[in-house]
This record gives sequence, C-alpha cells and structure tokens, in this order.
Amino acid sequence: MHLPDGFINNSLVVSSCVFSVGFVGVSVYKLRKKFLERARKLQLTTPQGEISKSETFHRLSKKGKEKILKMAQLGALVFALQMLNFPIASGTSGHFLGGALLVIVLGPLEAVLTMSLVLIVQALVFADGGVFVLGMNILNMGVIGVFTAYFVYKKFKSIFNAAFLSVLAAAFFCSLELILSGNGGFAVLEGMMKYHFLIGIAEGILTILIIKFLLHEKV
Amino acid sequence: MKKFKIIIVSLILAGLIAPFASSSPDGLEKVAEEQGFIERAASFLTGLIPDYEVSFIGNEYLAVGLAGVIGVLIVFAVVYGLGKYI
Repeated sequence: MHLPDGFINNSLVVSSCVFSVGFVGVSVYKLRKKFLERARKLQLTTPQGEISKSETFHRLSKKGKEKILKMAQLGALVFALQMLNFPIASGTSGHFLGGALLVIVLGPLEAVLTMSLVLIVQALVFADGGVFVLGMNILNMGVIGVFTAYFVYKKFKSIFNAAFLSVLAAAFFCSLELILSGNGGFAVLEGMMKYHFLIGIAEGILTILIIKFLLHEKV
Repeated sequence: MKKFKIIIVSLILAGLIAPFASSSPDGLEKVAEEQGFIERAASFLTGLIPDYEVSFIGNEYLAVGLAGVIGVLIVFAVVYGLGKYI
C-alpha cells in the first residue's frame, strides 16, 4: 500500500506530512519519558582536589534498552516480511504490513515509531513509496494501521481481527485519499477493498503464526 | 543464539526467499492500473537500491537477495541507533 509520489494532491500531501511529523514527534517525546531514567555521576574528590563534579544525566533504563532492541529486531522482521509479495488474484499480489504485529508485541507508540522508520528506509533507500507522500504512508500504515489493530486487540483480544481490520482500515483511508485526489470514484474504493480483503486475511493468519510460533510471545 | 533468532530469520526471508516473491503489482498498483491513474506516479528520488535490486549485480535473484540483506541490516541499525540516542 506504499503510495508513490504523484497520486495524491499537494494539499493532502502537506497536511498528512504535518500530521505525521507531529504524531511521530509526540511519540518520540513520550517514549523518551518511558525509556530514559535519571542517573547520577558522582563527584570524585581526591586529597589534591576535585576530579569531577556530580551531575545528573539521562540514560536508557534497562527496560528501555530491551525495548529498543526489540523494536530494532521487529522492524527488521517487518521489513523482510514486506518484501515477500504473494499472489492474491491473477495478476495481483499482496504483502504483509505488520502494524498489528508491532502493536501487539511492542505497544502503540513503539509500533508507530518502528513502522515509520521502516517506511522511511524503504522510501529513501529503496524508492518504495514516494518521498513527499511519506507522511501519508506513515499516516495510513503507521498510524491508522497500528491504532486500528491496537483498539481491536484491546477490545476483542483477537490477533486475527486486529490484523485483518488494520489492513482494511489502512486501505479504506488510502482509497479516500486517492478519490479526493481525483483518481476516480467508488470504483477505486471497491478495487482497493476487494484486494485488501484478501491481503487482510493473509495478514491475520501470518500475524498469528509469527506471534505464536516465531516470537513465542505470550499475548 | 536465541537473541539472534529474529535477525537471522529476517535475513533468510529477505535474502533467500524475497527473490522468489511475486512480481505482480500489489493491490494499490493494480487498482491504479485498472482505474487509469498509474501514469500519475512520479519518482523524485531513485534511492541507492531502487526497486530492491542492487545495481551492480547481474543475476536478478542475487540482486534482490543482497538488497534484502542490506535492508534488514539498515533497518536494524537505524532503529537501534536512533533508540540509543533517543
């Protein structure tokens, strides 16, 4: 569902950029509070005089370090999985998104940040997804995808439904963006939802398999 | 070692399996073709490894596999590195 540049109108591109920068920025701020701890460097004094003053500084807490490592591992995994296009209908393929996987294992803000970084690397290094529409791709897959999965999972505890609906939600909003940009009408929505229905089913199954059999997460 | 399991699986998926992935257009691209707006797609940045194929390797499978391995390592480094300096 990586939008290339050119499909979406400038006003939508700009607004989604502003939104995504803000959202990711706030996420980083909140995660900093969560991951960092205050530590103190103690004053060293020798008979000849002080060597160093004591000062407080921030460093990653043990939990923070573990979380970052997990985010990096899962980001790499999602990147790899997104490369594995599978056929869903004649002449059409789909690929895993990973929003639900990330949010169920890591939590919402961690998932948003991880997904955003994956999308940024994909756009800048591999030209997968446009550079100007990065904000929009982050909005669709990083925010809408992640939070849909988050709320569905929170409420229903169903990995499949969280993953399936997160794909549908992202596809739905992507369709709206395409339609508002003059790319067509209902047929665009119909086409997108039809293909992403199938992709969503695959995402649901894959997410369960990965969480249970690869990661062995107790969720 | 257990702590490398996820990275190793990622490297295998991206390096060895990805070259055999479907090359059909994905859902969005297919809708763009069907509804006639695929022509609007523009590219402003070719990137180092456009379309997941390393340019200096002739064999398509190896080119994609290497792109995958590089991508996995870059993503890991970026997330981990940013995390350390958060």
